[in-house]
Amino acid sequence: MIDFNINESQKMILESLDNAFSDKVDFRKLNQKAENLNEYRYGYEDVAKLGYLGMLTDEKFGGFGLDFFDFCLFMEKWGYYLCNGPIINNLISGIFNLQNIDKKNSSKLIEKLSSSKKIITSSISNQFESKKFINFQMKDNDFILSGKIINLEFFNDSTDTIIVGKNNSKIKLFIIPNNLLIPRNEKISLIGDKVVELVFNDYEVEKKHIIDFDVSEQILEQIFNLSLLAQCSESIGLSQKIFDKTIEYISNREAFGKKIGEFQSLQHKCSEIFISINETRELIRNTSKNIDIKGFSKKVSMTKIKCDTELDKLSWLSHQLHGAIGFTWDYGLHLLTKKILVNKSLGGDLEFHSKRLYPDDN
Amino acid sequence: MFSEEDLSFKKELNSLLDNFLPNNWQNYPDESLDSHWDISNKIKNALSKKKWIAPSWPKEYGGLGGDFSKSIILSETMAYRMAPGNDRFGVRMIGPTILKYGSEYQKKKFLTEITSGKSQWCQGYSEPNSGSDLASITTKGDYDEESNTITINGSKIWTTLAHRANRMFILIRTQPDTKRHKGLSLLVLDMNDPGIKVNPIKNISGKSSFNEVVFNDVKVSADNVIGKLHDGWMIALDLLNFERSGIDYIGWAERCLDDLVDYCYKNNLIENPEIKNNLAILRANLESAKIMTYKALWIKEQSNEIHMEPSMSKILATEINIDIHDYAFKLLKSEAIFLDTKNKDLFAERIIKNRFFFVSGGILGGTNEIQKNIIAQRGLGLPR
Repeated sequence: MIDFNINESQKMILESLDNAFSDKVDFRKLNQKAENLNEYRYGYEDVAKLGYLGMLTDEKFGGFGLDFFDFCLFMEKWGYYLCNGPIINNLISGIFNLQNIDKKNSSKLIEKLSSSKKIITSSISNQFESKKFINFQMKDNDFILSGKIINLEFFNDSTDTIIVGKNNSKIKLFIIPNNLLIPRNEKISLIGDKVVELVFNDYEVEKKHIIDFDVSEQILEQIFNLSLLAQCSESIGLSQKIFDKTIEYISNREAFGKKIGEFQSLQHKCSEIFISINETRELIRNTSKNIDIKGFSKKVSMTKIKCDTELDKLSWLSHQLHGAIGFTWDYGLHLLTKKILVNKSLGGDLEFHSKRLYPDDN
Repeated sequence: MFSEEDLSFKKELNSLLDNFLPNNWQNYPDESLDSHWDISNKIKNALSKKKWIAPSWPKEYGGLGGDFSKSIILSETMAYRMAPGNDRFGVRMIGPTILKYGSEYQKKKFLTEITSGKSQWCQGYSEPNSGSDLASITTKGDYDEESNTITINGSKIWTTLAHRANRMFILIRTQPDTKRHKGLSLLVLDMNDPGIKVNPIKNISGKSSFNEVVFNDVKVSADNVIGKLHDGWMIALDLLNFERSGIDYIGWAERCLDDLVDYCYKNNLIENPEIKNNLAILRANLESAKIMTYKALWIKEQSNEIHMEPSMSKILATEINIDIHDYAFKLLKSEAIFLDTKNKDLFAERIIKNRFFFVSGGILGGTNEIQKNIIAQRGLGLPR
């Protein structure tokens, strides 16, 4: 059934996010954060207060039991307001994933994640994409881990880390308390977010200190796919914000004795951006509504390709439409563009996704 | 997105088309050719028997009374199969307009005529000096109250299939001395009426699919006016939104991309990373354009307000179709240039022919540049 409607409860969630975040976007403070001069961040804690960490949690665990599509709509707003925090890690790698693989044994953990008593970060998507898994062996009551995790986000904001381990064909997810881990090689992204490395050199950890689940490659792929879609939703929210700023600017800025928005060449550029944002958003929404269909991974790759080939181009065009003001640090447009570029760099490049669409041995 | 019932409808439709399309049919549907016209009439007749010409229309007018998803599947599948017999002027333009604005007499007469499969429609909008600037039309209609008739004088141009059509919907100026959007009426006429002369025009692909139509004292009953006399502008615009979804272009584009991917696999081109990447980008763009096309059609079903989606989807669908054909031409190189050689690949042969025909996509129904004006000014509220 073809239906492009947003229902009333979805509208209510979106409105509540507008109310929660519309006053928080402060480009002066966000600029300072990008220069590593402050830690100005909002999003995760505010969402926890609104109860939305439980939006994907089953109702029997006290959650809302909403669909993944609802979460993607939420992520559009998350991006629009430049929110920050391990939301995808907790809701997709954490709650959504645990409910699918072992609902019974992970119910307490799900409840803790839904109420922010535990916060996780995850390397599942990175590891699935790179196929670099942590080697694990079992010895008595210990696991012995070897390998390296790179570019792990939100380590300092979380209580636990999920990593993927492999022993021959056996795959496990390990949830390890962060106080047992030593992060190193901290790097700061374009927008001031920190990532770290975790190195495991025959690292022995007692089974009782960690949680482990057997998983299949299909489950990892599903987490990867859903995390990617959520990230695409965030990016389209960022693009919408850029577009709104651009329309506001050219509707008010005067040159040659009239509003520059009267010039047809600029109007056509704005129409092109508008069309592109709309088609990309509808593609993301359509893919996120149909996560159980055959060929879902191919649809996700199409969606990721669309985002990666369109959204940064639209950002650069918006800088051009702004003229010199869009070239300034203080105006803040660069922060939105940079976040889009950061998202573009994650989750596999064009070549990776083209191969998923058109494998050599079809 | 589509239900099991929809998918089974698609399967049955494909079987029906198999009965009428010759093996390995790879021709752009061009009803100006006698061979295509013959197939068109056979397919229309078969569709009519199953009430599939306009499946979403009410049963009383020959439809199935279903939701519009079957109409989408019908248009998209027929375009994918390049099948003649989908009268977009009747089924997708004037039909929905009559359903929305027409009198009961018009619904009974014209809608049932369309679903009977016996009619072919054409569109009388553009004039020699009035294309994208539609409000500047000058073809006159003098209304005589006593006889309740309108006498038409003037000419229309770029009228696709006027030489085949038995019906035309036409926009004319019925109030003299009015300008622009005022004093216009939209009405329906019989192409066999005395005083109508059709002059063929050869198009860029060497065929005469469109025409000039000259009106010399053509008399039409005022009962054929859609909506109110002298007040047809908004209805005429609304009709264009039915035209602009671009669904046919999506079907043609998808067929071309599928065939191109097959060609690349067969010729080991798919292993080339650059080609693989380009095909993937085209696929992603096609997928998003397709969803926008569905949305444009969906939104027309949902509300009577003017939306930007038809303008957006028209641009997207026509452009992705051209992008795919251009990339196919790039990969096929000389195979697409030399015609009528022995053992020639039919796919290669059709690419360049179709590419020329698809120049029209960005022009008809309001050029893509006009659509961008509409989006900027009416959609985004930028100043005129």
